[in-house]
Amino acid sequence: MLKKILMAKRDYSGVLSSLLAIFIGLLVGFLAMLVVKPSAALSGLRLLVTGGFFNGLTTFGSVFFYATPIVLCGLGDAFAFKASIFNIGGPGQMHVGALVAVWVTCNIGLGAPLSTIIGLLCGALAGALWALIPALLNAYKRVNIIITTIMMNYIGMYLAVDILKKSNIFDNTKNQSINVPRDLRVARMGLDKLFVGSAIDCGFFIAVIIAIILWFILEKTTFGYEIKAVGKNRDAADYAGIDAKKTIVLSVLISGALIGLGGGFMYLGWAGKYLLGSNTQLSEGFTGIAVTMLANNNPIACIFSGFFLAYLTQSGSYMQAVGFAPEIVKVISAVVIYCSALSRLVSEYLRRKKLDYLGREQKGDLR
Amino acid sequence: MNAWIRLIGGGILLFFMPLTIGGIADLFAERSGVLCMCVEGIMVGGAFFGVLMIRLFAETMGVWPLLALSIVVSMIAGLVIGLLHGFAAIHLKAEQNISSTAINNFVPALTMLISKSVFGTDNFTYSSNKFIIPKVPVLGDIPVIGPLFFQGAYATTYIGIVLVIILWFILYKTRFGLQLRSTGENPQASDSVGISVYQMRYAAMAIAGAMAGLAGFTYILTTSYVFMGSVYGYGFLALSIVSLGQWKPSGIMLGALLFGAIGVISSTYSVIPVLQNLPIPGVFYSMLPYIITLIVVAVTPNAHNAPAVCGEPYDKSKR
Repeated sequence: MLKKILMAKRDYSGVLSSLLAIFIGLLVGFLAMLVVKPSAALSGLRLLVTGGFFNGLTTFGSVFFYATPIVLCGLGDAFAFKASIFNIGGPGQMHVGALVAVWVTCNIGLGAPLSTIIGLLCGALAGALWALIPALLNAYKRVNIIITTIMMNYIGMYLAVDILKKSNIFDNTKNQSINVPRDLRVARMGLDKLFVGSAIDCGFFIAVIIAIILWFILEKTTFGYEIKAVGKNRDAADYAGIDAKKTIVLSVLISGALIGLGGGFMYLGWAGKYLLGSNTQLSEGFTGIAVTMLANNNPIACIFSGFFLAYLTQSGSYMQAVGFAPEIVKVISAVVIYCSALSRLVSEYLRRKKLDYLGREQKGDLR
Repeated sequence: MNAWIRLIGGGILLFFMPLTIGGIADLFAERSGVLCMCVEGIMVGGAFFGVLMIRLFAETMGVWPLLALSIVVSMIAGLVIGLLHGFAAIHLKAEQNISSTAINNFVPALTMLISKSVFGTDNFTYSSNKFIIPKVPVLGDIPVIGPLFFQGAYATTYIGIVLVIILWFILYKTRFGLQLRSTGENPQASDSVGISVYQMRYAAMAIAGAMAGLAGFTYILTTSYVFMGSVYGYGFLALSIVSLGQWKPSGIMLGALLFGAIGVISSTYSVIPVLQNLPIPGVFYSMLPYIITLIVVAVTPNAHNAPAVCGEPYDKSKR
């Protein structure tokens, strides 16, 4: 079986290491449940796998909604990662993007589809803006982008919460943002007829289209080639005539824009999610890292890995019923990231195995 | 006057200590050649398990045994998490930024999971007042220095100072420290004279993990009364202090002093009349430590003093 996969023309080692990461992630999640509450661990695991259909299609439809922001966030992270830039500023970029998107949509007053579209675009712009300082610092001064993006996360969180509280989209009594008017939310295009009562809207399909565009940019255009060249070796790319600084800044800006857009979709949707008036970071921004790690930075694969993690998140929201915190899903996705860090080891092993098989076959020929 | 010295000076000391310990932790890791961006995650782990002990055994144990237990537990927790990163970084040759990020996400989620299962909420309170030493005899009577250092300080502060001195001695004055630093400069050369690079790096990560765990515990014990699954980016502040301090303990302590002052301004601006009267919105002060960190990492010159191979997995066959 392993031999057949390894000897296939296409390289499946990435898929194999991702599946391994998922397996180990679920295993650790199960072990954590065993430690916390042994009696309910099995039913917890069952719920984790089947929870996406807890209420049939209603729940499953909502998975599409939850997948939209984290797929977009994963796409953003993947895009920067192709240039070897580790943008972990997801929470901050998403927070700022979400705030701007909701504020513009509610205040611009251009009627149904136009307000929302402009709002989402402004959210993307804000996300890009929030990634600008880390991008410039990394491109021109090689400052470690992990530190700068984390700092921007905290600054963004404090700023967004403060501005939200002073704005006209804040509901003082509930300490959260107001209800976005129904006609200004992201269009549903009749999908709610199919998934009755769910939070589905057309956001997921826009994310899919964006994923395809990103794949095209990365694989079929000069810009994409430049990004990958910079990612492989920044100095060599610079020497070969690619403007590495510009490429890095652009890739991080696009990354921030996608993440900001994800924030917009999350709070202009139908699931009743509100921007909170308390100082909490948007954890979806970190889930995006797991999405791109699981997808091996491939934009198309991000759709599936994002959907998978959204499915787990949806399942996680029912875990309270059997006595587990929804954080179990965050544990799993962190383990997935940890395993992805080891993917070099897995692909190395598979490569050696493949050479082994190749060598054996050649010997057979000689006989 | 004494009250002001205690408020400002004592406050600076509160932030200074965890940042110094966290910085020294990162220094050990980076000097041995392991990039440790996960100080934040380890600090959360140490903080959680430390204050968990305080919360669980507050009634049944005496004050000082309880403190000793919490410190040991927080250091063990930090050590385990540090070795988790070390295992990925050293043995499995992982991308160290990624495994650090995994740790930074994993630990807070785990603490939330446990806290929700044990207490039913995602935060829990603890009391830390009893660990304050009201006044050290003799030393506490010295003017200025007395109220600054020897009145109403937490016991953890003194433990931290002693540990920092010991660690400085280990890193710079012992054979082990020299060998450890050599693996961060030229591991192939170290290997050729019989030093085990892997062993040195594991030792460094164990020390770094234990110290970062203690740093987290110190931070959360002295600056807060409620644990909410985070140390609010102070692990990253410690990282930036290491590069600001040019990978030297004295530089790290100076940097920690600067950030300690900023931490005090950020957390007490509402009781300092001068700051309160300025036309600056309060949110600015909350953001201040993070803004200053950004500025600091932006203006820190490229370090010629940084360990040469930090972040590169050791490859025996390379030269």
